[in-house]
Amino acid sequence: MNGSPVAGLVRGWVDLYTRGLPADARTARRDEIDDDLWCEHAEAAAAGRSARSLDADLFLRLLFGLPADVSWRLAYRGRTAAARMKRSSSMSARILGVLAIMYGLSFATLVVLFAQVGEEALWTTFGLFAVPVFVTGAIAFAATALGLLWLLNDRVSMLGVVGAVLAALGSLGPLSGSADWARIATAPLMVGSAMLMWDLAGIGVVSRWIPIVQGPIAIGYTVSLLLGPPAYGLFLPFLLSWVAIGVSLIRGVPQAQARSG
Amino acid sequence: MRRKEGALVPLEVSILEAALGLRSRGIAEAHGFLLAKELRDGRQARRLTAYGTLYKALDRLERAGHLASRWEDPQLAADEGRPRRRFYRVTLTGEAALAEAISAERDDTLPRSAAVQPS
Repeated sequence: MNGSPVAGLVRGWVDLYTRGLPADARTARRDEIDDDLWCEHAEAAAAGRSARSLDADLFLRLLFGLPADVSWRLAYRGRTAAARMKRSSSMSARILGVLAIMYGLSFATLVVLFAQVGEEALWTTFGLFAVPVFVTGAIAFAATALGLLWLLNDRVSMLGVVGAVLAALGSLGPLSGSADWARIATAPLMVGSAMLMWDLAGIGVVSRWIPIVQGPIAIGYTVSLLLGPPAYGLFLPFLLSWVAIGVSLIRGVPQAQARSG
Repeated sequence: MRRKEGALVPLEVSILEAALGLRSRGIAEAHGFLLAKELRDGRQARRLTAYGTLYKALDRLERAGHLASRWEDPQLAADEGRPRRRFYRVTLTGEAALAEAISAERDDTLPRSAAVQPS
C-alpha cells in the first residue's frame, strides 16, 4: 500500500468529493483509486524509481484531474436529483419554513426602515416596532437553523452542523444590545448560513442557487466589515434567500435517503 | 463547445482502443491503471492520465453501455495483499461506437477536394 503523503492527499480528495454520495458509489470510486495508487507504486518500485519522482507524478495526476472530479460529482448529483426530489411535507418542516420566512421578512423590513430613517431613529422613534421585530426575527432565525439540524440530523454532514451552530450563535449575538456586536455577529451568521445551505443543497432540501447566492454575500459582508463600514446592501438579497428557503421548506423536504459519511 | 449527444471524445476513443488492444493480446478485461498505462504507452507520453479524467471517462463509457465492468472477488485481492480491482471490458455497443467514431474521424480528415466531385 502506498502510504506517501501525496497518496494520502489523493485519498483525502477522493473522500472529500465523494462525500454525500450513496455508500456504494463512494466506496467504488475510493477502491478504484486505491487500486490505481497501489499499482503505480508497485510499478515504480519495480522500475526503481525514486519516491520523489513517484510523488510528483501522483500529485500531477491529482491536480490535472481536479476539474473532471468536480464535474463528475456535479453530474452525479444531477442524475440523482430526480430521485431525491420526491419531497414530503411534515408539520415540522412547515413550521421551520414559516420561521425562515418570518426571519427574512422581519429583517428585510428593518433594513428598508433603516435605509429610510437611519440607525438612531430606527431604535428610538420606531423602537416600539423595531425592537420586537428584531428580537422575533433573530429568535426565528436561530430556531430555524437549529431546527433544520434536528429535522435532518440523519443527513446533515459536519459542514452543516458547524454552519448551523455558527449561524445560530451569530443571530443571537446582537441580542446583547450592542450595535457593534450586531455588525460583527452578522458575519458568522452569514458564513454559517452559507455553509448550512451548501450542505442542504447537497441533499436536495434547497436549491443549489441558495448557497451560490449566500456564499459571495457572506464573503462580501465579512470583507467589507474588515475594511470599514459593512456593506448593508448585501442584507436584502441574503434575507430574500431565506424567504426562498422558507418557501422550499413549506413545500416539503426530500424523503430520507441514506448517504455516506 | 458542447459535444454531440452520444459522440465519443478523443480520450474515450483512446480508452476503447486501449481496451481492445489489450484484448487482442489476451487480456479480456482491464482495470483502470492498466488502461492508463496502455494509453500512456500508446501515446508515448511521460505521465499517466489524471485520476479524475480517467475515471470520469470510464464512468461515462460504462453508463453509455460501451464498457461493462465487474469487481473481482475481494478474497483474491486480499490474498495478493492489494485493494480490490474493477475490471472493464468493451461491449459490442462499444465496438460499434468506436468503429463509428473512427469512420467519422476518417471522413473529417479527407481532403475537401476528394469529397467534392466535379460536375
